[in-house]
Amino acid sequence: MPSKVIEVTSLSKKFSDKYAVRNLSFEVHEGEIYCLVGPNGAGKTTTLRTIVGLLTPTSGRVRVMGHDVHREREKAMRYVTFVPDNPVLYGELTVREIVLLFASLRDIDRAVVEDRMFELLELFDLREYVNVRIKNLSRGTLQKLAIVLSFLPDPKLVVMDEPFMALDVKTQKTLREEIRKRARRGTAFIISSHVLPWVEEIADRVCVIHKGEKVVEGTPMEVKEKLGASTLEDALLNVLTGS
Amino acid sequence: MGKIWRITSAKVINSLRVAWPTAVVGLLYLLLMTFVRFVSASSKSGFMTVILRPSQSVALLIAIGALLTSYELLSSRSGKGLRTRTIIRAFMTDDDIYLLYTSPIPVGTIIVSSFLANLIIFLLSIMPLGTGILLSMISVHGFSTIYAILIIYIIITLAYVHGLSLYMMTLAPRGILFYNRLKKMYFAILGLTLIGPALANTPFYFISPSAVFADAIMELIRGTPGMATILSIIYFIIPLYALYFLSKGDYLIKPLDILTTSTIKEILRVRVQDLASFIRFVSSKTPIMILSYILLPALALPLATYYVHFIPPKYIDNIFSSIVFYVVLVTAFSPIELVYSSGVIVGLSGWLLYQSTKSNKELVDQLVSGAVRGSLPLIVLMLVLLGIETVLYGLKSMAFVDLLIAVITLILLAPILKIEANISIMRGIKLYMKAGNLPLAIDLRTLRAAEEEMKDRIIFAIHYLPLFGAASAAAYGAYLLIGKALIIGCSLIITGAVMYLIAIALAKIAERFFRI
Repeated sequence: MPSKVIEVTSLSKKFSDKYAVRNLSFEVHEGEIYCLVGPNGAGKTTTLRTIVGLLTPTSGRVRVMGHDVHREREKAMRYVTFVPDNPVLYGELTVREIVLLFASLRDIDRAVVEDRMFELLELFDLREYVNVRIKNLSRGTLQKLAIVLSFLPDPKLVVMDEPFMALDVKTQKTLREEIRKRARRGTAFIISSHVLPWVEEIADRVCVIHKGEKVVEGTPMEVKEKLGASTLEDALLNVLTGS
Repeated sequence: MGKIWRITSAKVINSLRVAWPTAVVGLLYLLLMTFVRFVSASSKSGFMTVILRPSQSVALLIAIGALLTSYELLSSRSGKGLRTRTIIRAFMTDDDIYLLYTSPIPVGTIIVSSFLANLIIFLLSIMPLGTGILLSMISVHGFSTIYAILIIYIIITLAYVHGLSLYMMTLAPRGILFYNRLKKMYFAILGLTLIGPALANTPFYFISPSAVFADAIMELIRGTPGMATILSIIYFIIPLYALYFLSKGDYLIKPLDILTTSTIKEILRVRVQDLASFIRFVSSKTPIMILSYILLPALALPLATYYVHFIPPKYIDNIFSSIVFYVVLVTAFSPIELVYSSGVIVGLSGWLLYQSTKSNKELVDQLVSGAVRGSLPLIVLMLVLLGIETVLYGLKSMAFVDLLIAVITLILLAPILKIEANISIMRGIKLYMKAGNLPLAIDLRTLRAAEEEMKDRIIFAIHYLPLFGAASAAAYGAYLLIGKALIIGCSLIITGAVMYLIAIALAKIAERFFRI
């Protein structure tokens, strides 16, 4: 059994008097691709933001590599990178500068960074943008850069919120392949996505969330069986319609 | 420390790349100062004498530095508004938040970096100007006074930055639109104001429309309209014209840097066509503008006249001090100027708010949080420096008065900070969460929330800025009382109270006028 990378225990997050996430528990192991699916407002983004320490949970616990994300945030975050749904980077810095800044904050050796940076930029067709300022990048290109930044330190866990959004077909394919490749090397992934065919294709396990609560969890096959559907899309529709 | 500096330098680079015009303007100012110093060296009166006095030179510096600094602080924001964060994160921009949750960086590192970056940007933005001032001062006063001058220079600059930040906060949602899209116009105004003082023989004119108006009235009474009259017309027309721009819609306020010859021609064509409607517009808005532009400056006029012409020098060190006093009282460093300005700004804000058919809440965020974030570290520094100066110069010094004002400022700023905290939380939870992750898509609900919020802010400005002005007048009064200038002190306190009442009355008129 591969070792546990993240353990989410009874996680709840309440805004005012409304629960965005309620009593959610799951764990993700080394090399596993774990996908969160659910309708808009289901609590996926809140879950991810709580996992990376941006939001403080109302109750429950998140541990990454044994470190509590909220009590030992810096230690836990050494193993984690995050691709938010809406990356915001220093607009006046160039792609190269932002990559180097992130690398330095992650204490990556400068000599290693150069090679790794160009390798990743090449992979996501960003090489030509290396000296372009962030503010001039399109939404899709910015998303690709955020993905590059998340892969840069070779983390134990990559958390991605809607990573396929705004990406062209080719990049979506590249990303799927890269996720699989990295998972084979031991990186764990938690991905939230509405692109269910891709989820079905890459996920080792899927967690369906609705109204902040876990409805069902398992391999894509198990989820489909439990919800009596032939595709994940139908499975999710069944959850929404209550059938 | 390594990471702090890495983030700080990234932020500084990020801001300075936006703010390169600062360097150009600063350089121009340096040249102007050098020119004044060396070309006018033979003259011992007039412009050179005035401009080389420490406080007056400083005031000139302040205004430019403040203008530029506010510009940096606001323009260096990412433009995406606040997200979920706590008050301790009030220093952070969205970029910082991104850094925070994508990297193992402590919150403190980000906050310290933001503080340092703001401070460095601020210092860099005033450095060229400061160099010019210092060169002039060293040549006249020698090095011995430089320490004191430096302290005053920093203190007053910071105070003014704060004041301007406060001022900026009263701007309406479209204020930032105005700010961003017409930022080059700001520099044009700055250019004008740099020339203005030189022509008007005093470096203060441009920072104080009320002083300009007061002198314009004097000029007109004497039947000799001069530079003050011309400047008055400029000051009067520019905001009206800007208001008119905004009222006509986006096509008239395209960013100047994307203008082509054909769009310029188109705009000029529209301008000519719209001349008649502009005149109608001016005439319809003139009463309220006159009210806010003339009434308070009119009050400032007798005060100014009183201080400059009738106070025996024995009460105040010398005539020069009385000039400084006049300037301090009625111009930019004095928060009373804010009272005066707030009339215009509140009016402008209210009008824009209720006239605009669309709004951009994110931009409101940008404006307010930028102003607060930018001014907070500076206010803290200002308090420390004022404390030092008070110890050095004693309770009878202006430093003590400044300290009093700073404390009052801080107390009055507290509600704004509270608003900021509320906004942060409210935005993060209510608006952002509900509106979804579409920062640029403003729905009706968000618009309503923005309107409500702006209404709060306008009401806040209406009620607090006059108080602010009155309080500072009272502080000066207290200063004079300490100096045993009983009559003057009392008259100042009374004046402060009267100003407060007038300002409140004006605010009430504005409230009714704009149906707030």
